[in-house]
Amino acid sequence: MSPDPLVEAMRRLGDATVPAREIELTVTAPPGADPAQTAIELRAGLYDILAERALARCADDRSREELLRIALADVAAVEPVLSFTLAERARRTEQLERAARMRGRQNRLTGAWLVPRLEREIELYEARVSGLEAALEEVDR
Amino acid sequence: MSLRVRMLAAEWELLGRAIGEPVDRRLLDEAAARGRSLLADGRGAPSTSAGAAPLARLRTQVVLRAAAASAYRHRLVTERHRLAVAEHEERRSYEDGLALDRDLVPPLKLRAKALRAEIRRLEAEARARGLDPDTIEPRVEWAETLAVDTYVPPRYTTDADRKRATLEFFRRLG
Repeated sequence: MSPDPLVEAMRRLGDATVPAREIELTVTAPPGADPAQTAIELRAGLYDILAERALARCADDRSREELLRIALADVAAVEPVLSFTLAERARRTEQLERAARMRGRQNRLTGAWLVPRLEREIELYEARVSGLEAALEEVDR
Repeated sequence: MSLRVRMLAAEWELLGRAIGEPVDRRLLDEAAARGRSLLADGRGAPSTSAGAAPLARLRTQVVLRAAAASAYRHRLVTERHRLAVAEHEERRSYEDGLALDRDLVPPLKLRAKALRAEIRRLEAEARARGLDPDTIEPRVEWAETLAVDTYVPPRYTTDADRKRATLEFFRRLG
């Protein structure tokens, strides 16, 4: 028997492998509303409507409570995992971005400053060697 | 005022099926208003049956945790690309750095080191023959040059090299 749609929705929330394709929804919000807060509110409202529909299908309060307890256990199992994974991934992403930035700066410095400077100095040294050799040859003559 | 909210298409489709009716603008606005109320006071939607308060509390807990999980998952899924880009950029900067430090800079420094040694040898020879090297052009302002006289190029080893060296070490120990 397939689980109740509410329970199924709670379980599916743990699946972070779904495609990243997004849709854009337009909702009415009070003036000055924060978009991030509105996004959370909309989610809460949609899950509330889903819960309402699911509870309406139950015969009595006992089965309603049982359904909500199962749904709560399921969502409580996935929410901290998602939160932890998100924090870990954000930390790793920032670490990598920082390392790439610092190494990129170092590489640019090496390529734009150190290498041309070494090349210029090598040219000067080669000219100095030629000059000294010519002077010594002059003495030999 | 109207606001645009992004949601994962997969979640939106699942919610649409689970709710069992088309989620149009009216239902979206109702959802947003309900969510605002739930988050503002933490109370669930009113119910008319007996024992409604504990059920409403339970429902609110489910709904708020689901909203939080949904927001976490949304960020996790949509920021996968950012992590992939960061991994690629970090790897690229490492390889670029390695190419500079292994292939480009060491030969230049070794060449400069050899030429500096040659200049010093020739200057000593000139002095021995009664010449003043400072009168010979072009001169080098040593203090303004990169000091590479003690430069030793870094040694890069592969995993296979290290494995071979370890085996060799233990072989020598008998």
